[in-house]
Amino acid sequence: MISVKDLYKTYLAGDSEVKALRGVSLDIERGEFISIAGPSGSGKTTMLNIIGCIDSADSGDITINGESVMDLKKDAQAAFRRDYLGFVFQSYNLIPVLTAFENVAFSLNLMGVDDAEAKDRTMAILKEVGLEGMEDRRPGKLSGGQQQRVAIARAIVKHPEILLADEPTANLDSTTGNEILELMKELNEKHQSTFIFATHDPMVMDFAGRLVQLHDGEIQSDTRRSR
Amino acid sequence: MTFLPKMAFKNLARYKKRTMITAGAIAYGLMMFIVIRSLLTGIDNESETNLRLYETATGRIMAQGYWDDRETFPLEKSFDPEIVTPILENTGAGYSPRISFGGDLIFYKDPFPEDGSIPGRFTAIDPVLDADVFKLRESLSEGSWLVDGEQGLILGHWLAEDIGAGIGHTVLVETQTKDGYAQVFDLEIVGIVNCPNPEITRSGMFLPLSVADEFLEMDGTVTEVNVNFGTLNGADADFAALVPDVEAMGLEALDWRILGADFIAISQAKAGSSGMIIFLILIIAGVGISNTMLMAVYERVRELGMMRALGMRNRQIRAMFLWESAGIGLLGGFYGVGLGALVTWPLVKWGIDYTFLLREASFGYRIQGQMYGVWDIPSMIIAFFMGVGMAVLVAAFSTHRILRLDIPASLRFQ
Repeated sequence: MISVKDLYKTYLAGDSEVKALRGVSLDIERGEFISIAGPSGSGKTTMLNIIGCIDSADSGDITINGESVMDLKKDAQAAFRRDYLGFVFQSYNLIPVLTAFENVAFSLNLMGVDDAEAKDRTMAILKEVGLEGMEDRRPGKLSGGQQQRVAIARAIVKHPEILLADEPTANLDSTTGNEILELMKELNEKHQSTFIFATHDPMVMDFAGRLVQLHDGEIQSDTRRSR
Repeated sequence: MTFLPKMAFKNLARYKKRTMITAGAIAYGLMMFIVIRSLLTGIDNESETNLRLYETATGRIMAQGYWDDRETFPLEKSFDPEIVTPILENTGAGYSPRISFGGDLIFYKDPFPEDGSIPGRFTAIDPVLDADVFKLRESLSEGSWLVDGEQGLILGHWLAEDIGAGIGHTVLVETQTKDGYAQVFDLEIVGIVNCPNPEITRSGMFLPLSVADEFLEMDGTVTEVNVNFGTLNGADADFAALVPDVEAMGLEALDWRILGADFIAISQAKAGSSGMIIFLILIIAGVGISNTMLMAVYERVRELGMMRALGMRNRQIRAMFLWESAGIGLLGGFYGVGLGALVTWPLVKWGIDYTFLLREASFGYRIQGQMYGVWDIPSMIIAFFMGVGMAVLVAAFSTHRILRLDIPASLRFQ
């Protein structure tokens, strides 16, 4: 479903060039729970960003459901992200002025879902992530784990084909991190969305059904496992 | 998409203090604009009225070439007023023949405090006809009005104060006759005028036309006939209609705009200064709001990166910030117009006394004592939209800068 072919990406860091990706190729099937792991600077976040159409590659191609997303124009990329992708960030990135409900509904508002349907779907997903009764709280009134649950709800409420998570447990303690991973696994199985993580957290790596190890911009190993 | 304005409103509420400070900066600028425009328009209107009521009337008929040489008081360029009287009477306009001449006003100690003389311009007026054109008689603050044939003199209030003149004091006038012979005659100060036109109050010297005619040997000729069609709309057109007939008689007819060229120049310079005020206000509002908007935008770079990652288009983000800035602009606009109206009100009702300033120097404006504002509604409307427009413009610029960052850079932004 997702086919990454021969991806190259070089950054300029000051005067020096950083080769973030060096010919990465990878196929990901629908519904996979995959972890792209590696040390800092290995290129995992870059790869996630390119798959998520928020960064561009120097060369190579990414096809999703058989269609290349590399040459999409900015507006088409935005529409693609809006309709097919969900993002979960390390630092949650919730909108502080909005309540938990409004943060989740934000994704649906962008898609133009009508208010009544948006409300039903938002309430349902908040219940699913265990935040029933906290809909009216703003991010500042939620714990880190609860904020990440809101972020996950925001990503999953639109039923994305692909959910991209960049270090989703990095700011959480191990118990909460584990709960979040359990939740994501449960949603993965229920909604059949493809979950792709960028992480260097061993706990996340253990959770993944497939572990892709990157090192210096190249795939070092690609192993499928059952938990 | 109503959620964009809703988000914008929530953001305005989130940064209450900053919103109020920015709106306050805009409001202050707009208030200054409204107040200054109110005063300048008030001065302009009153100056124009006072110029016409005390100096120029609607226009003036003179001999050809007199106006060009007016600084030398060329009495030989005079004419018989009777030749224009018939056409003036046909139009129903008020008219007043006058003789303007230069000379020295000489006065001696006892009753004056000191001996002295003042060079100046004397104006000989018809004590009866002049009231159909000018409001001098109504401005008499002391003494009595001129009487035809009597050697009386009326002085401006400030001039009288400066030389220590009082009613009943006698002065000498040293001048030249129409034929260029030296002439000295005495006049008794019979009245003092204190009118709203500072040029008259500062230097006005008026005597009866018949007295000047005799001592200057004018043989019934005058240097000018002032024509009054009132100060309402249409007066200028009425005077303009008169010009061809006057010119056909070999005379020259100039309207008040030419006669009051010094004031018109000031008025036009004021239009330029208004432009400068607008510019300064734009700068104040622009700096205030651009600072706030830049802070607001840079503080939310990561948030905006997230929104873009979720599929929000750049134009939606721009729209959101434009809603925000329009909200600030509206707030500033309302406050600014409200404050402007609040400050304008006492200026319209009581004005500002700045006699101390105008007594010593002339700025070309024909007002003295109180400077009054006017309710300048168009300026208030302009100010309001200017505030909103500025806010939106600056926000567009700030947002454009931030949207140039790519999404990963926005998400990493600290």
